[in-house]
Amino acid sequence: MRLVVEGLHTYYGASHVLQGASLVVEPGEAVALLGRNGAGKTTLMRSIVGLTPARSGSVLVDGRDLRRAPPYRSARLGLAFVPSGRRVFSSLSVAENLEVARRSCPRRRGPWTLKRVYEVFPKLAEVRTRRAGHLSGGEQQMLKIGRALVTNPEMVLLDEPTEGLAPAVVEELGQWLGLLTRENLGILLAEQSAAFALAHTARGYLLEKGRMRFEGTMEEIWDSAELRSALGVAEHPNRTR
Amino acid sequence: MAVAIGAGALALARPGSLDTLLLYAVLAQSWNLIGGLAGYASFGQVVFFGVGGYLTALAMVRLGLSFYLAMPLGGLGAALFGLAVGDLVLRVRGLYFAVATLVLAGATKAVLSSWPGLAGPSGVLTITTVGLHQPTARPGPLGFDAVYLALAAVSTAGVSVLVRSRLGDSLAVIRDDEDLAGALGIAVRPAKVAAFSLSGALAGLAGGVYAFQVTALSPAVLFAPLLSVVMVAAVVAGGAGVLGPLRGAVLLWLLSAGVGSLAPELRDVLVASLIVAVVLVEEGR
Ligand SMILES: Nc1ncnc2c1ncn2[C@@H]1O[C@H](COP(=O)(O)OP(=O)(O)OP(=O)(O)O)[C@@H](O)[C@H]1O
Ligand SMILES: [Mg+2]
Repeated sequence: MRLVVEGLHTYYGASHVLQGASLVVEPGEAVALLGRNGAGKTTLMRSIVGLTPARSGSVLVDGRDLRRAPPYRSARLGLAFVPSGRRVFSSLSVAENLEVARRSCPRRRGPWTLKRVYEVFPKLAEVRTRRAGHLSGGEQQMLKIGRALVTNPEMVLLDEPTEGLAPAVVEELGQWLGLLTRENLGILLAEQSAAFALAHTARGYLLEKGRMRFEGTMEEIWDSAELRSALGVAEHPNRTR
Repeated sequence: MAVAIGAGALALARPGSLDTLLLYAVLAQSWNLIGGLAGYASFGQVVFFGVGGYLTALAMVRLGLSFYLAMPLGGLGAALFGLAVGDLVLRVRGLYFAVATLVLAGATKAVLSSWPGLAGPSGVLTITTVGLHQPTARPGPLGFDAVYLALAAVSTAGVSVLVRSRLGDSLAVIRDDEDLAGALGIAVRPAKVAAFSLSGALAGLAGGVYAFQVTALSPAVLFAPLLSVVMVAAVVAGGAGVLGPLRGAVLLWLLSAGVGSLAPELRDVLVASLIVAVVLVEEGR
């Protein structure tokens, strides 16, 4: 799947949040969407999947414009959105959360079944009968990713997956992202915590006040003191790749 | 007009009567579909009752149809009405949806009140029950009880099938987190509109029976706001699911019967206050 976003303008009432944001994610590519608090990262993702429709611009998924399509269209075409925070169906069990997601995209076939999700996330299998609202932050993150995977997507939009996670879980999350990449899934990763995104993607966009301020490789971002200060990253971290 | 209102109030009030209990049960299941299962608390659910009631009466009076044909038509009409307005009102949630439905009921009632062709100059549409022109012989009290019982059974069976269906699954997650449901591939808007329309069918069918029971119809009778309150309260008090609304209907029926026998003149005020109290207690749990 190839995602091309062009000149999106999105409003919340009168407030003009996205002011012509554009980006491209190639098939199987991992791309970072960086930007400070309130820059519009979440809004951009919501506009891509149709939860907060953009007023103008285009969202092309393999050439098809989904800007005004309802959210289920993008999901059924294989573009999965993993929202930030504790967004699970809290009154349903872990297994029911996965089951609902699997059944919501019945036509999508692929390698991901509930069984495979439990194999990849054995901790999830242990709590499969527990109510999703009672899971720990890390378990909920696993469930959110597993829930996206059972729809057999071709691309995943991850909104702030590290938020509120313990460092050990963040490390695990990095491994899961590696797995998605090996499966040839495209990834768009929105992060405030630039260090994590920089370690797990090769290319990124910097969103500032609803506009793309910069687009380039991670090396370019690290090499620019100005960009680092815009991201709030003071020093060069240990590179993991 | 006053006669019509009096008759309506009386039929609704007759404390302790079985038909009232069964009517409450149908209305509670109607509200359950949209308020309980989908999580959209409608405060104007009486609009379907009124639309179904009027359509049933008009089909009998103007078209000379049998009640047993007119009532399903009324239910169908209410469902179609729900389909038509659902997409619009279901764009907003929570308090906004409550207000939108309240306005919908008020506006529909106002339109019907000022519609010259709807009833005679008196403003009361009467279903003839004597003479040669009566479309259907009026059943006795037991006959109405039987019709309401059938409706209550069909409603409850329908809800129990629905909660196990794919639509039921969709509604459960929509209630939990609507945005998320959409992002996962669930067709949110159609599911909500379907629930609203089905809830309209149930209330519309009940309205049709009620219309034939009361026979002298005016917007004040068929769009009584107290009915909307009863529907909300039954599910809040009894709980959603399949059997919860039935529990709630019994509770409200006992409540209104008790108050009616103690202080008939204060009945509406007391019932309304008690309902508010029940809702507050339930909310605080
Ligand atoms: N539902 C909403 N209604 C009105 N304004 C909103 C809404 N959601 C976000 N905003 C505003 O839109 C702007 C962009 O917010 P958004 O959540 O997209 O930023 P973000 O980059 O995801 O920030 P964060 O890193 O804090 O998650 C902010 O100014 C925010 O206050
Ligand atoms: Mg955000």
